[in-house]
Amino acid sequence: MGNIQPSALSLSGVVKSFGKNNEKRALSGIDLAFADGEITSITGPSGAGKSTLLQIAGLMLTPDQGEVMVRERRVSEMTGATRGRYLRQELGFVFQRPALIPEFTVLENVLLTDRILNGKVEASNLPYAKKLILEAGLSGCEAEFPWALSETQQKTVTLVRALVNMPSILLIDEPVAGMDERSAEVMIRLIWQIHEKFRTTCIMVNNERVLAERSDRVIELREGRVFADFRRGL
Amino acid sequence: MRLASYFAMRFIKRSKMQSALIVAGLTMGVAVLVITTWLVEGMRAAMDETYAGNIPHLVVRQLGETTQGLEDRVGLEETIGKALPGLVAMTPTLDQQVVLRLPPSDPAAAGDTPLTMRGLKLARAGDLYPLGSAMISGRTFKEGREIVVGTLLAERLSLEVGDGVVLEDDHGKTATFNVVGIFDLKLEEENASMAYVDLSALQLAFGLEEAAAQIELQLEDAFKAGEASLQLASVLDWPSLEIRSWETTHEQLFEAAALQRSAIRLLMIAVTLIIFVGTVLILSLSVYQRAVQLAVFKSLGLRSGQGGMVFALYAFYLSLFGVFGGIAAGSGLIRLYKTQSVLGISAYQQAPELNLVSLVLSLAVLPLASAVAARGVAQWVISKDPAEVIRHG
Repeated sequence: MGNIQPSALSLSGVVKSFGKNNEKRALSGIDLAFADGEITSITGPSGAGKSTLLQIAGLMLTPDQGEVMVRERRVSEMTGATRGRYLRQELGFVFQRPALIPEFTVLENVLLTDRILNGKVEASNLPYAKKLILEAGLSGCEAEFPWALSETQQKTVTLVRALVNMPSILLIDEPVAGMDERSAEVMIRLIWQIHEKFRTTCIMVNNERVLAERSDRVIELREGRVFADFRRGL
Repeated sequence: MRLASYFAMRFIKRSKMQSALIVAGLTMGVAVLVITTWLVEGMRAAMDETYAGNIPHLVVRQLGETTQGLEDRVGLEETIGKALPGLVAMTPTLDQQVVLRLPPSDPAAAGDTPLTMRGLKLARAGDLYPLGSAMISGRTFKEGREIVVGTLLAERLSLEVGDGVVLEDDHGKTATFNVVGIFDLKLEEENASMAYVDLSALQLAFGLEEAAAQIELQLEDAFKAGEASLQLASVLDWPSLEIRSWETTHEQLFEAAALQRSAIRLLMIAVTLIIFVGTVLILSLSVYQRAVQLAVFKSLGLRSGQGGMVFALYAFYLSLFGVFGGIAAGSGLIRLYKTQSVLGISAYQQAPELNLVSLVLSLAVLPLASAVAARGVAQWVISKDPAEVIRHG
């Protein structure tokens, strides 16, 4: 018998529909478990349910049926406060589009989670946030406002923000979509650096071959179902 | 709360232009409301004065035909005074039809002139009989055989202050009064055929004892006459008394005044509503424009209540600035209008004083309403799927 490794995040029987009468089925009974420290790419054609799956895994959406478990804890059984704490500490979520507050500087955006979590910025987090900004190739941008940055830079800031609290699970929607080759390389390097340094579990929605090839696991969705699920080297 | 306030102030400070435009818009709206309230208040007071300023709002008299007039007039006055807190003037009156005769030596003594002498208590009559301000020569009457006559009568009979006149009633009883003043009440009939004397002097001169035909009353708010008459009827234990309000005695006047009052009230409601709804909508729109920010907050774990509070405070602070700015701007303009001519419009010196305390209290609703509306919009936005909001804005 092999070792049964506890999953960082799992979904069982997840169903999600949209539309007025829930006529549009996005996910149809998804059962997936994401192992701790693994990088997973979720691929599939447009409308396959990739982003919906990621949002449910990231507790942004509630499934119509089924259960999401974070570190063996059922999300549906969590109280609002615990759920919020999990959302902020265990999970880091990066949207497909840059999601920054235009009224806040880059540094303030990066430290936003900290402020929401503690009501203030912990002095000890400041050097780490600045270091991450530097490593992400955003040197000198700390005091800039988002509108002064390119879209790629904004997306990088969003990623840095998701990383600053050192989440154990990182969910990224299309990390390099629309980026030029150089920016994409910076982004990929940053994700892998974090993964190697902290053994962060990464779940990415992407259709980029380069990312899928480097991932530990690739899951292909079609019409809201798992069409293929394979691990590198197997 | 501290976190919500921090975010709210950050949104206000970092979007300086938007915040400044919102506050400027609110300031203008509130200033318009302040000036309109002041103008309408002045207009309402002027209209009330025009329509009901010099007429009795309530009249108490003996029911049916009587030669004796009111019974226990003094006791009645005491009861009325206690029963009506909004009473501003009260006088018993008695009319006596007489003919005026000039001394035979007077060259103008060509025939008798019929005249109505009205006896009243001028000191308590207030604006019911504004003789003090209507005198064009001489003074008003005091107790004793003193009489004031209208300007037309004085002209016709060449009467002057200091002249003596002989007055004779239906029964041939005569009395001599001294003309102490000539009035102009701006009413031809009054100026031509009325003369005023002290009630006691009239009673004494013609042997009328304590008789008075009626008691005339004036209230602080003329439009509460109907209510006051019911209140009075419940207190007065005189079944033979009749209480009539100006609603009945001056029906057309009352209807016209009531109509104009309603029109003014509607105008004020419309202006207030437009400014309140406009303010609430502008601030709600400003919150709605920050849907992405709210979605980001939510994705980072900000709870719905906290998100609502951020924008409730955001709207509260902005509308508070707008209210204070508007009151300051409105009051400043009012002061300007009251003291000097503006844009060719002469200074409105007779306008009422602006009641700042009641204005601030009534406008305090505006920041609260804005906060509630903004909180509602924020909570509605925050209930949406953040990923969708971030994707589509």
